Amino acid sequence: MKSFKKDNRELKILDNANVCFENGKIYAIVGESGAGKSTLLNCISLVEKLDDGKIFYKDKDITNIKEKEICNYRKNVGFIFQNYYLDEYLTALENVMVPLLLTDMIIEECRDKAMKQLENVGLKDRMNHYPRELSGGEQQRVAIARALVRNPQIILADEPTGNLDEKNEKNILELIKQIDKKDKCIIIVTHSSKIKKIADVVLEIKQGKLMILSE
Amino acid sequence: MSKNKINYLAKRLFWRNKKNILRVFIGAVIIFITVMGANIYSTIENYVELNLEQSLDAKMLMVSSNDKNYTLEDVEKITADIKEIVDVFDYAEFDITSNLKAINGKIINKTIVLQQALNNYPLLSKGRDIKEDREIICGEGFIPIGDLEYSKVTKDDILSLKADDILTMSFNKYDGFSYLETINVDLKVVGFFKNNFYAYDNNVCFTSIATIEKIKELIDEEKSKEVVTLLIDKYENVDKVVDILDKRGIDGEKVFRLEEDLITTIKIISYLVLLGCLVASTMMLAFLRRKMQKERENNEILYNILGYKDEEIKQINYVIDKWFMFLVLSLAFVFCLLCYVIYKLIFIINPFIFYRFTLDFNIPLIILSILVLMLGYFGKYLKRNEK
Repeated sequence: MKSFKKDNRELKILDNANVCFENGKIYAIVGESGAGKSTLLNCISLVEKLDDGKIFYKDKDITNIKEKEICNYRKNVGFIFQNYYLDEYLTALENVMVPLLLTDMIIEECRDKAMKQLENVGLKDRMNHYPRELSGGEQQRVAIARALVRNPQIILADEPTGNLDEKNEKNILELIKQIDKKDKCIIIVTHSSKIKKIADVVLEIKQGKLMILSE
Repeated sequence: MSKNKINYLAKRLFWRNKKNILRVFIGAVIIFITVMGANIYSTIENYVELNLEQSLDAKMLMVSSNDKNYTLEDVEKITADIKEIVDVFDYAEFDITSNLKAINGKIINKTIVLQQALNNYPLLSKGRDIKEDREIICGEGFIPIGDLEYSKVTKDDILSLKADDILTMSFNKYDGFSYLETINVDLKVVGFFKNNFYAYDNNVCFTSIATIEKIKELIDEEKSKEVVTLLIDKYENVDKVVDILDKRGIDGEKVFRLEEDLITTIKIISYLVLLGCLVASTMMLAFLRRKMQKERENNEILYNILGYKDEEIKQINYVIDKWFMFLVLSLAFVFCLLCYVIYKLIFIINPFIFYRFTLDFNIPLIILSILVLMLGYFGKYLKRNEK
């Protein structure tokens, strides 16, 4: 359960939301604004703590793990945000390198790998540009490259096409479709009907409850 | 995460934020102002100490002439056990101002003042003490000009005398209003004192009381009235000695009365200037750090989400702070060096522009002030380590 208190009134965002996300599937989570879709992603990524209930990752209870373990867990998670959330002082290449710097690779190896990843998302010639020099679609592609570069098992995307025009939305969808899902679980919070179409499972959050709309 | 990678990230995050360059400049100006505050404090302290408290006049007590006509021997006996008294001597208005006709026979016609030398006064920097009559001690930078208008003095006016130089003083003798003759007196330079353009007038040379008396005799000038005078070790002990003398029936009169309240006020003000500079600078630097921190806060959350531990983010911030401080100190050092060079250049061109108020660059005080600022800036890391 996840709740917020406002004016001494408890607001239940997630209530008895029981769900199991499996590898090899794309999950689309839909629901009205304020229904708790992003909160669910934040809880999965351990950015927000649950008031009640548990989160398991590979059968291990990770609900109340310590900071060090949280960081290790997050190394298995790739994040894609609606507003891209890139570091404005780093180039596209360096932004993609940021998660890699936490690995044992040396800087040159990180750079090579990040370059390949950017090539995969079609930004080879834009790798030395700063976020402000890139379009919204390009920024989101950098964010996707950053999310994928460490080959995470979980990919969390919060409205990844929410700020994009139709053309860019299509490009991003293509990229998501191209992700090798074999060992991955992709969870996308969205309003987009196009994303719903590519999802294996569509879940809806309504009044704190999580329901399967289609599978 | 290796240091290499932390530096890699920190370097980019610091340098690519253009606002940081402006902050470095502001920080350097702040440190420069603090250094100047320390200099002003040190200069005022130095000025008060050298020109007032340590000046001979401030440490001299005259035995009042109204008092039972004490002789030098009487006073010596009465004060023998007062350890604060370092010398007892006859003293009077002996100054002789006259024309300095020539140096080593070369005519110059300038002005010289002869004063009585005392034990250890002035302190010799070169040469030897006066042993015989007609020997004198002069300043290392001797400027034989009367009624000095220091702003108009140039480097050419400063004479570098050597040991054994002969200074010829000339006196015109008159009978009433009619000129009789000119008497020349040769004086030999045997020693030098550091005049540093303050503490002594630069046209003053010192000689023995006997030489002065002989010159006065030669030019038929009335012998000055001598007063028994005591030299106290420190200015701070003068009042104490006055009290002791009072109990022993001697009225000790200060030769030079310091405006103590004024001096205390000046000292407090200079101290407050330094303290104010330090406090304001610490606050300003803390403000700049806070601004930088605020800007980084958003990124910290991002890095956290991407798997960075708090400790790793802290290390990145620490490296950024270190660079910031290093650059601020380097730039402030350049400012100070520039200021120092300009000051020295002005001093070379015209040594009297800061006459009697030489700017004192007190390096230990400057380092201490900077350490205080750095402690204020990096204090948060110390606190965290303690935890």
